[in-house]
Amino acid sequence: MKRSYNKEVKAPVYTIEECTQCGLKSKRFFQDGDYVYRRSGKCGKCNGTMIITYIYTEKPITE
Amino acid sequence: MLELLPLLTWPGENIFSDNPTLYFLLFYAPFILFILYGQKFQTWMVLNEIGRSLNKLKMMKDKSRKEAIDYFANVCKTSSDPTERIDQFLEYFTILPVDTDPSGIMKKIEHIITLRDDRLRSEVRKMITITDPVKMSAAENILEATTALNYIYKIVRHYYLLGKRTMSLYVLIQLQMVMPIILQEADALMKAIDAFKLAQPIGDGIGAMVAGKLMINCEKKIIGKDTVMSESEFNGRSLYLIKAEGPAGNVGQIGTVVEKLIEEMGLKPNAIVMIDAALKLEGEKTGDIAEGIGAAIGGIGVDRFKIEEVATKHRIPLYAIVIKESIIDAITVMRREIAEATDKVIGIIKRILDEKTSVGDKVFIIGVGNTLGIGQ
Repeated sequence: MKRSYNKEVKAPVYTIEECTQCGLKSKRFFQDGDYVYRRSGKCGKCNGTMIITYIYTEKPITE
Repeated sequence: MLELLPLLTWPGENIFSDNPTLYFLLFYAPFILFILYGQKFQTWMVLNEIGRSLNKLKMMKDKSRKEAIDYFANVCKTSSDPTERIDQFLEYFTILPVDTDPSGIMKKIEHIITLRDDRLRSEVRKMITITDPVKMSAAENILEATTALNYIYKIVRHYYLLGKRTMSLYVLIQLQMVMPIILQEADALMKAIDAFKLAQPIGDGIGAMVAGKLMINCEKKIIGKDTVMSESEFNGRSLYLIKAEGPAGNVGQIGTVVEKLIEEMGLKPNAIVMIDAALKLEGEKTGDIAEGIGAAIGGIGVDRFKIEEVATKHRIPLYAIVIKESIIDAITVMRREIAEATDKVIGIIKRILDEKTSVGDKVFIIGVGNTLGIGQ
């Protein structure tokens, strides 16, 4: 009989960016050099400043 | 039992009536054996179980040591092979002051802890060639986690060998009972190393994250060792926002800074609001927020002592807001539930300011925690 078990795999870490002017939010995978409240570029919608507001992981996934 | 009886007999005969020795061996010998050697059997089983857990701990300890060596050699570009130096660090210890006469013990503890931190920092900086503060602090944090894992392994091994040598079931049973918690903490330390390597925010940093959000677009100034302060305004109140300097992995010297601002710089606030992560009880939800009174700051107690001293002396009310999380959440990459508590906490701070302070008041807002991966 095949033995079944839950194996925890590494949960992805996301970076959430937010425009300081229009509030547009974007979610992407964490990249080296990201940190919370870093100015991360220009907003694609209003050309405002994008700022990293969160870096987080979601609940660990089990397979 | 009655259903088993037919199994014990051949058709037409009872095997035990002809063979009393077999009867004795099957029914009485196990009783006698367990009465005489039951504890020994249990001891062997417990030893075996602890042995397996100890192997897991050894694997974790070896892996963390290897990760530390790799990080120092490849990321921090040490001038020579760091293996020997890191192995020396793993055995590094701190002797806390004698507490039989507790008078003035806080100053002694502060002295020893500051000395330990400075020594660790200076030794790490001597070994590495890079100057990036984030990577330097990550190296320090990795080394601390590796040292903790090494210490856990050695303590567990000590009690395992002691129990094995003396065959003391009572030593072993106690170890077996706490082993799941020890393994959980060791696993969290392993995961913490991953977060440190990539300089990702950890759950403990939520207090600093709240203060950091309030500091956006404000001028920041270094106010103490690894500690920054910004001045802001809310509904006619002057806010003094304090946190450890990020995005490097610092906790700052919050107690010293508060003492300095009040006692040396004469900046007497009308209230102090402190935000920190707090250990949740089983059953409580991660990311839940609770309000209370007192100095919300962890650690060995030096910062809390200083803040309590100065607040009591000047009769400054201390308001605390805590974000609930487990010990594992606190030292691993910040979970979504914790991160998303930021705006709710800011809402609570604003309510406290409106309800508990008046126009023209000065308020210290202190975000406590490790600022790894959190700027301002």
